[in-house]
Amino acid sequence: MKMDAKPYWSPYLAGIGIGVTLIVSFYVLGGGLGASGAFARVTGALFHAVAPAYTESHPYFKSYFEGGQSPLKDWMVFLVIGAFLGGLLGALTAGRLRGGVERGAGFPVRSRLWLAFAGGAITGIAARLARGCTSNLALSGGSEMALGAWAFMLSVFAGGYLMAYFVRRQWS
Amino acid sequence: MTGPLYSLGVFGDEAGFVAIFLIGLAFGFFLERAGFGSARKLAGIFYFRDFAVLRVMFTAIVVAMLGLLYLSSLGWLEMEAMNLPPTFLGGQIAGGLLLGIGFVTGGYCPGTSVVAAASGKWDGLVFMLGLIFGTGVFGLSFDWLEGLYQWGSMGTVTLSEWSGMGAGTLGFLIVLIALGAFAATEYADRRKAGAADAGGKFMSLQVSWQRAGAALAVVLGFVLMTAHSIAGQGVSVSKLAASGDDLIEPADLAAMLARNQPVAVIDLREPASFAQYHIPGAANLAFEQLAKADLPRDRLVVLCSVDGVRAGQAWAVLASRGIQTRILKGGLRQWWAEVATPADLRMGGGAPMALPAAHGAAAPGMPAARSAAPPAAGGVKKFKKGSSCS
Repeated sequence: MKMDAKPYWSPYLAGIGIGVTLIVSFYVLGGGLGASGAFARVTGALFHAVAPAYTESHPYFKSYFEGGQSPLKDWMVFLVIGAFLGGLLGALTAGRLRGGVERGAGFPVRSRLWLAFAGGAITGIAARLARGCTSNLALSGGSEMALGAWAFMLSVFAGGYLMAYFVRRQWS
Repeated sequence: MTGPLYSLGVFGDEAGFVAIFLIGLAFGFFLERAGFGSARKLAGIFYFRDFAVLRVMFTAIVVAMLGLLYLSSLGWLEMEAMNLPPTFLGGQIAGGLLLGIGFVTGGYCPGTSVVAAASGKWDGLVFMLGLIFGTGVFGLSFDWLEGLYQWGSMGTVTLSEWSGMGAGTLGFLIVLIALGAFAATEYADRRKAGAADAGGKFMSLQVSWQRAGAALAVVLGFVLMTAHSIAGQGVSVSKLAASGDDLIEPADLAAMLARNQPVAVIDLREPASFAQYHIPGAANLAFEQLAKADLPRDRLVVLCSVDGVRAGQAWAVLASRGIQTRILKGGLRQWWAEVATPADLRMGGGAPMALPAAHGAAAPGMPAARSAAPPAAGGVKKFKKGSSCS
């Protein structure tokens, strides 16, 4: 017996939920949401496992190791663990926890997974270059009206629309 | 209680980990409910097929922005203790373009890939592995990318500081732009659904919670703009309000300082900004210190902040103590524009600037806090995250 998934919320309602979460985060912790930072921490930890001396003197990653703590003992890592469990909770309660690969009907699974990996890799470079991603920079910085956050947000849409035509087949 | 609670030392690091975990939990749940665990739904924005990304994102930004502006206007949130992302135009524009390309190629952004993986999507998990790979590539080629990464550094500048528009006006404008985008995409959706009377329904006066929310956002934005534009002239929105007579023009203050007239300038900004530049002879005090600070009664006290909003609130505190107080009209922004020349700004520090003769003139009789970090602001912790931002 398989129940049908509940419909998604109205985007405005979900947006209000995220907006209120942001306000709470700003008021309680003084900063907003984030996601890519946790991936940078994990990457730093992996680098460190392979080449400790190199990583501890690396101009980008060395700050993660100051104070001798694990780079994973970081707020952003806890936030993303929370987001994973929150997403799991959401999917479970809506009957949407289903294994699978998102793609257009006629598009091969393998190709879609390669595109997902490539997109992830490009995004990984991009988020470090921009000092944040859609959560941390566009959403949180955008609501704080930071100039760089709005420049970033407009650039994300521009980049997406420029590329959309070339990868359209995976969705249809 | 004034926030941010963590930054002002209300609780410690360990409680912070619990708080950020719970915030993450809520974030993940709402992202899932928005449908952001689905790559096809997310990518739909780039094909004009599904406008959920735009609607969710701009609703969240408008709600959070209005919340922040109201909390800070009411004095419940210390904006200067907040973690504002610094602007680096090179990295942010190049990174933004690249992230958009990665988004439409992979179908996710970092946060949504986590939610997709949590809902069982293998492509979400693969995207996450790609993220780690890409971050590694960035790390290995950092020497080569650092020029672009650091290019266009402008510090922590807001849209309102950059454009010269008041934060309230700008907030109202962002509300109107977001609502305009919502209306346009709703109209496009109805057109596509083939509704013959798409225009008719759009124009009708049907009451829905969306319309009520939109109206509320407009009212809140408008009130904010009005309140800020009044406060911007130095008039406080608090109960005991200053009037136009309680303002002093920057040029008049400069003249008083130059003539060594008895005046005590109190700078209400955070110590870091104060250290960078301040009016010669000014003392740096935190807002919280004003109620108890030992202030001279034999001279005129002039309050200054960035744009005069905070000074308006501080005026009410001092006025209630019976101290003769004026607010620097237009705050330091107007002072910079009218009195300090660009050459002065480059000198930085506490060196005598526009008015060498006046340097130190206001020091006698001033509280000992001059240029020392006030205890409240000195104990401010910044949002705890990687020094290179996340």
